[in-house]
Amino acid sequence: MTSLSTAEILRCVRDLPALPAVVMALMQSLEDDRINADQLAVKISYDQALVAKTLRLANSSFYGMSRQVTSISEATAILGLRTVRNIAMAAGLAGGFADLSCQGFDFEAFWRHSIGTALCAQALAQAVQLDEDEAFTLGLLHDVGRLVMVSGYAERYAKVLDYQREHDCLMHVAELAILGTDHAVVGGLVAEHWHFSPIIVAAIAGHHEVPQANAKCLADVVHVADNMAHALDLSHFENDTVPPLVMSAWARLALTEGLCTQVFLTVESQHEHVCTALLG
Amino acid sequence: MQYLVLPIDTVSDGAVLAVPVSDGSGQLLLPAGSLLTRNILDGLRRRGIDKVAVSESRATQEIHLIHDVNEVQAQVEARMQHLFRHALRAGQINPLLHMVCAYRLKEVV
Repeated sequence: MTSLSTAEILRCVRDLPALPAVVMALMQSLEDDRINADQLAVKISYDQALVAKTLRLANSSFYGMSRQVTSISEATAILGLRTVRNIAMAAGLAGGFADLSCQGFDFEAFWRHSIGTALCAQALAQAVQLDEDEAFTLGLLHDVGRLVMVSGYAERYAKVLDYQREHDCLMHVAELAILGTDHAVVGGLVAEHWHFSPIIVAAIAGHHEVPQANAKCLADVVHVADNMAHALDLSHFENDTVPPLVMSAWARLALTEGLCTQVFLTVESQHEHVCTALLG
Repeated sequence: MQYLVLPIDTVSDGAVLAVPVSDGSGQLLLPAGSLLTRNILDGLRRRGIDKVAVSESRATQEIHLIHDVNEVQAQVEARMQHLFRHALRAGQINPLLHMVCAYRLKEVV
């Protein structure tokens, strides 16, 4: 099996199914502190599928609304600007890759894990006082490299999945064995292509092997959130496995058991509602 | 009220009858709530009664509950061992194994 070259990966990134313009706009707005609720509502309202999914979540039993929420502006007033932006972005991303097909690739499990990691990252970031929105986005996107590989090389990726099943190894080990690269590296290239900040690019590229750092950072958050989402079994994938935990990243976050339990509770109270709204 | 239908030979002295016992002609032999002493059990056996329904005592119910909890605990632990199989095989430390396991078991007990 021939390995994927960087040039091939970059070509594949360029040929990605176009993400809805609104998702790109929402991602870029993460770095814009001046965006207000009206501007956000206008951006989201361009995409009716996104509007429908965002409202479905706002109206889910999780938020316990006594009446129907019928507009994005109303949802923003109730759920807050950040939640609406994050949810709309998740809905747009999931929708943008909805038409892919690859034998053996479980899309629902993929998104359940990505949404779970996003929620874990958001709750962890809140607990350790790092940017919650960036953490959510990172969690959502940390495995985007897998989607790119599936979209560009479905047949070869099916062989990765066969290899993983046969050897019961970690996914990135199977990717390296068959494709010569792994989803973290590819994800970093995608994030770069989408003009994310260098911090986000590095955190996606390093979500399995977190680089050394002097202080807690988003790369630590997404690494631990990924581990946590696997440990909480959020994907419902029978053969799921928890990847190795980088202890230096864990130590930098200085998490206590009580704090982790609070994160588990928060995430599990939201996860099904978000998945139902976005994937249902 | 919860009850168990047991072979009469396995009923212990002091159990409480949950369902009245009648003979083949419909004649009531023993009302519900009767204390099943050794003599009464022998008498029932002589009249051809081979099974009786006994009230499930609080102690018995607790034993069943303990069995259920043990079963769920075993399931939780088995799933956690499966999820963390790579770390366990490689002898890697992951505090989340203990934390998530404790969190899951707290939900059960």
